[in-house]
Amino acid sequence: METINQKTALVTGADRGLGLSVAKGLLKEGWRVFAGKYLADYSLLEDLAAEEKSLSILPLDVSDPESVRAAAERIARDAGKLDLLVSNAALMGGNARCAVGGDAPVDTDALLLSFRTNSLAAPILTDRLLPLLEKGEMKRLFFTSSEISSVRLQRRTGDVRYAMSKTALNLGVRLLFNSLRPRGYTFRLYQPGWMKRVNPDGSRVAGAQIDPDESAEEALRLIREDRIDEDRLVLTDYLGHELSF
Amino acid sequence: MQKVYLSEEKSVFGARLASRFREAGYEVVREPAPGLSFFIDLTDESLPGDGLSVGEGIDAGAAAEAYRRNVCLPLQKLDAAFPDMTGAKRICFLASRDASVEWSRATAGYGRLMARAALYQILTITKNTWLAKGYTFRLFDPMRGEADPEKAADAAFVYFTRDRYDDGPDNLDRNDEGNLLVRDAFGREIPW
Ligand SMILES: NC(=O)c1ccc[n+]([C@@H]2O[C@H](COP(=O)([O-])OP(=O)(O)OC[C@H]3O[C@@H](n4cnc5c(N)ncnc54)[C@H](OP(=O)(O)O)[C@@H]3O)[C@@H](O)[C@H]2O)c1
Repeated sequence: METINQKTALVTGADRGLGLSVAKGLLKEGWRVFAGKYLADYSLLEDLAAEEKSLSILPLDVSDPESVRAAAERIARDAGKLDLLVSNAALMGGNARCAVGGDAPVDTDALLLSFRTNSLAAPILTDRLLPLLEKGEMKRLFFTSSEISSVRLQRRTGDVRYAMSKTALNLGVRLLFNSLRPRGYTFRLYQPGWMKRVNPDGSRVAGAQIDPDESAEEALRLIREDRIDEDRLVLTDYLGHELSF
Repeated sequence: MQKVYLSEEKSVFGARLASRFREAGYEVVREPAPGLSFFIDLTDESLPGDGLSVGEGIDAGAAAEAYRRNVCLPLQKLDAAFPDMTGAKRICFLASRDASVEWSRATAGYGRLMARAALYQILTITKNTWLAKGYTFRLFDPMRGEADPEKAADAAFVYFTRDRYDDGPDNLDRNDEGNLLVRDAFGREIPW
């Protein structure tokens, strides 16, 4: 249920992992949240929606401009504005068929799918949601990247498909920044850390470094607080450290 | 005779680069094949539909096509030449300051520029594997529209053909070839 002046956010990839944790945190802080849901495997959002009147579940495939258009229409109809975009959905993607000099030829279709989902979706979402963001007050754009995106820090010998998509994302965000920072928009580019995977029942898969709930705390701080250096585009991690590109 | 694959020699830059290699005694070929010393891809395609800024209706189809042409297809060609290279075993691609996350001032060309950034990443990962097998890498920004293309090609020829400090395969940590970077036609380093 919308209350007067309630801030509105769209979180993509919100049916599990970091997206779900950020959506929950925003709800706790009083936001109206549109939560993007892609596949039907997870029902954690539905469980949450049963208790949270400020949560709307939005069917959304970020790699499909038609789906993005429909989502923008729904937000326009139900809320009329957007203060915050959390572009978080991503496809991990295997490596084997995309490496140069690998066992099989480079798989162009796989590279393109990762590009459309992990990289291009960010500018497409921003573009299609811009009229709603213009009506919002906060004008904050949050993008989940990864340390794997950093060319400078790259020590890996694999994961090319995912790494390429996140580096491309950073550049796409730079182009958005160049256009929209002068118009008052503020940007967050976030490395959430090596997070525990979430099972369909909400329990965590063993391993990894931190829980998505923990990483979401830093994400929420970045969303809540203004920075001293909003005119710089920076990639920061869940510990608050800046990473080089 | 050492073989150089050059993806095009129609542009002023490409023609000049081809003639510099021929003058230096290399055979310039237009199809990647086993036995190359140099693989030089000069692809940098702008598509009309990929020229929109945010708020103008960025064209997802055009951006994806620009990505396919600027990074996916060149990688397929590189893959066809790999791993049977000889001599310098040098992989050379174009770069652009517009694709530097740090420095870019661009507001359009999403597919084309994101492709370039992705290319930097895959070349770095490829280098991490293949440097130990003698493969070397160059990224060069010809400063299109800013620098004279013939002079830029001369600078590229020097940058592509000259070795960098190399302390041998047992000392890769001291090997300057391991430090992949972008240089522009003036020799300046462009950050990622
Ligand atoms: N996990 C890590 O250790 C780690 C490290 C660094 C960066 N990151 C980044 O952090 C973000 C969140 O990661 P996570 O581990 O929480 O994610 P995750 O558990 O892998 O979940 C990915 C989310 O993206 C959604 N998604 C995938 N393809 C989509 C599409 N085409 N359209 C819309 N949604 C789509 C998934 O939906 P379904 O559930 O319906 O499939 C899911 O909600 C991602 O951007 C990831 O790249 C993660």
